[in-house]
Amino acid sequence: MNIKIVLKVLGIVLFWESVLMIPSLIISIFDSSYEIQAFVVTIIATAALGLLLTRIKTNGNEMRIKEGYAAVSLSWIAMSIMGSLPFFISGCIPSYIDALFETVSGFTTTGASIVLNIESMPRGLLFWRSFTHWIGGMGVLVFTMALIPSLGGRPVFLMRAESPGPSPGKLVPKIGDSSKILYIIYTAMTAITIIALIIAGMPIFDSFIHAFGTAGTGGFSMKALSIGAYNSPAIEWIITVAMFLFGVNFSLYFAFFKNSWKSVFKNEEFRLYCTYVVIGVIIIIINVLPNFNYDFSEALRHTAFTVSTLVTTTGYATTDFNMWPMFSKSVLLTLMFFGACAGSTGGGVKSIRVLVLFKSIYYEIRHTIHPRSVHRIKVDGKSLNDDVLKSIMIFLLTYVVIVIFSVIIVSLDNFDFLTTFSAVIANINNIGPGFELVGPMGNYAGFSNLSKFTLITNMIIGRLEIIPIIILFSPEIWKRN
Amino acid sequence: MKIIIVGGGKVGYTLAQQLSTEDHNITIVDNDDDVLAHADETIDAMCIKGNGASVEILKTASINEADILIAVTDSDELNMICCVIGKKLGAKHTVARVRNTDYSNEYKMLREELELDMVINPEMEASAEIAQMIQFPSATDVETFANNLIEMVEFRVLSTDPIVNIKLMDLNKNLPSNVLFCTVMRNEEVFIPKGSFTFHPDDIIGVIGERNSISRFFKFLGRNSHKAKKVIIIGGSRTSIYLTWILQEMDLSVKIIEINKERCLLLNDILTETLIIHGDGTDQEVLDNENIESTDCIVALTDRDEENLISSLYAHQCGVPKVILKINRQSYFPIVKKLGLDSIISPKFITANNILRFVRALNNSQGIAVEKLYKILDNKAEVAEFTAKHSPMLTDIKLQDLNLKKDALIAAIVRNKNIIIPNGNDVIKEHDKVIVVTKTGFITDLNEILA
Repeated sequence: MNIKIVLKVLGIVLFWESVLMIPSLIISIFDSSYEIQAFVVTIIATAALGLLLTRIKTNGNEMRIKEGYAAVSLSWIAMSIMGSLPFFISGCIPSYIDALFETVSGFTTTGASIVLNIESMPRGLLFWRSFTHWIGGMGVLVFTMALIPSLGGRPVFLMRAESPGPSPGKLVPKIGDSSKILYIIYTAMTAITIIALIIAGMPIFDSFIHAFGTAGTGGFSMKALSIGAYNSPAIEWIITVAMFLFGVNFSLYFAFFKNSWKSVFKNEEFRLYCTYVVIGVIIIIINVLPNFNYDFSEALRHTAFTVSTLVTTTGYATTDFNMWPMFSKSVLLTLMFFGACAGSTGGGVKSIRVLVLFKSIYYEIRHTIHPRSVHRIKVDGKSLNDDVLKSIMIFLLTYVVIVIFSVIIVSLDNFDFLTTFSAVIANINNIGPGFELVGPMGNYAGFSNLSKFTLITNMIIGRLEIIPIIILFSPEIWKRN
Repeated sequence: MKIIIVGGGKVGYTLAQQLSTEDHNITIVDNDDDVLAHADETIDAMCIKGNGASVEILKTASINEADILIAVTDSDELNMICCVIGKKLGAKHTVARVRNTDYSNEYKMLREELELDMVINPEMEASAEIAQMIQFPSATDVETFANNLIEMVEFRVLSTDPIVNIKLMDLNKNLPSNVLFCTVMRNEEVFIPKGSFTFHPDDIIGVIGERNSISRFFKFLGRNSHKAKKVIIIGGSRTSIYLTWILQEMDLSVKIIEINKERCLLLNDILTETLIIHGDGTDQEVLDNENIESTDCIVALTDRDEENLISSLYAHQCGVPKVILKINRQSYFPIVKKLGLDSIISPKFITANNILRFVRALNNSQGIAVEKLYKILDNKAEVAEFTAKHSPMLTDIKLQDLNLKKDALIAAIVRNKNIIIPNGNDVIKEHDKVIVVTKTGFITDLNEILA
């Protein structure tokens, strides 16, 4: 691997991270709160480190696939390490591993928190904490590509490694233009969410915080009771719809605006996503009606919100769904696995992979009955090439293996099984809340450092979809060529 | 510009790679997954899988917004259909690669009836380039304009040339053929020469004219002392056929050595006048039998690079003054040059370069009234092609009565496919294609050449 190119990309990312911290600093200065110094120190250190690394000369070497993947995963790690400094230096989160957990949880749009008393956190840090969701949602390298298109040679690998989904495609021929279009759609949708929330009566600062959490499908709130704290059906419905929309593949919005809105509804992944959301809502509502004293509209609101928040892997809550019957919890757990669409800001296994999995099972059964039948799996009428199919299957298997090992490590803390299992699931799928101790009203503060570290790893693995992180553990990649 | 390239083979890939670095938006359409995967990983372009002649695929590639559609698949017919459909769907310009000899006399028809803006034939382009190498060995550069009808040859003036230190207006009277001096490069500075200009040794001069006129002009200069008369072509490929046609038009004697008997018979059907020899071009005895030592030029054009290399090396060793060989693999170039063989031809490379030149000419002319704008002499001068519109100040007026700007020159007029190298008594008529040579950044409209 050519480490110089990787370091250079790292430098660019760190420089932009320092720029993105400036709004939080401004809020701190405005509040003249105690974390100003922490922000100033972090911004200067990050910018200096970034500029230093960008000065590395790459000797005209091109970025290839391994450099691209390594650059993305190392960027995310470096970004998290620097991004956690404001929490740690200001003393707001005294333990460094906790500060790192909170930041990684932010960038990976997980929304799992270890902060016990969130409402006492100063606004500058709250803003940064939620802004990491917004940055991490669409991806920081996609962001830098929109600004500096010529990120050395073959930037397509950076986009592939960072964007969720089995085969992220470009919207337009130039990768820089594609990134710009993605960010324009993303920013516009975020702005609409903010305005809608303000109109619905949420305070302005709170609207920003929750819109960031919704857009990135993160889930950090500034209230201990999450969205439930506002007690406003309007706000809850706005966020329900917004979360659902941010879980849709962004290229569909591009197709929608460009011309072919019909093709959007023909998209098989989108249809599967809608189907399991609707079915999830219906069967849970039947199950939970007694919990709401048979008040249908309230049950619908809370169920729709909960399904939307978990399927898009956001992690907000309006009610403590941990109190719901076991059947509902099992359905929710299944939806957590499925996750949102590829090319959205959501996490999870992704609707497209679930689709391919179901189709594979169907054709395998058919093949057993008709041994001579020939069939290639098609999505949207196009045959999937064997490599893509293989990579989806490998992804799913690796995913299961990582979940099993993580559950074994976290179980050293000796919590009950649902807590342990749902903690791992909630982190690798970038959801945030799980069940029991880590339920929507619970917290991750009780875990040991080893478990926290395991969960941090799970979050990054989940966000970057396994391979870019796994690649770092291959000794070959560290050899000079 | 938005460019769609159909066919991701060597030519398509080279074009896409080059054009994407020149900041164009490239979309590649191909049927082969591996080709697309390779292109996707190495070029910043959109890759679409499918048949480039299908309306649906072309629409997916946003054909209606495309500035240029370039069809360079292996199949001539597919390329043509692709361009016709593309034009109907809104592509502004179309370029098709058509290489079959059966179509070679129908280019005019193809261009007009199928509305192709450029028909490119790799073998024909290669043969034209080889002919130029044989014909103008002393030229430093050769450019062609107006669909290859007009050539501009650049050469360095020697102190012995009969054009030195004579005023241009006197010189023009003595010229044997109809050529025009267009540009002079002296000490890195470009001049557009007018009547009182005199040439000095070491100037680099560009002369424009038809191929035969330029050839006669070079004869007049006395530069043709070592010009080839006897040419042996090894390998009876399509390029060989085109080359033979060109060379015979130039009155050179051509022999073709071909290893395949049936191919020899076919060649004999097409080239009835040419001596076709059935034999192995790498066999030294065959070459010796054909008097290789008294040959002026050997062109090795078989399909195998290695065979071309062996034949060429032997010819070079026998002291043949000009040895030209075809090499397909670009990675061989440095090795071959090291062996002393520096006249290398690569048809795919030439094709890609010519299409590139066309695209750049279109791109340069965007936003101005020029149809095509070629940059020459390290971008210091421009050759612009205009179609003349009716203008009382310009059309139907004798050129000597026009008050032209100092650094502009009307170099050629194309009227109904006839070339006019103008003198003072010629006029520009409406719909003529006018070729103007100027210094860079000088004009954007034909009327601007008037002072």
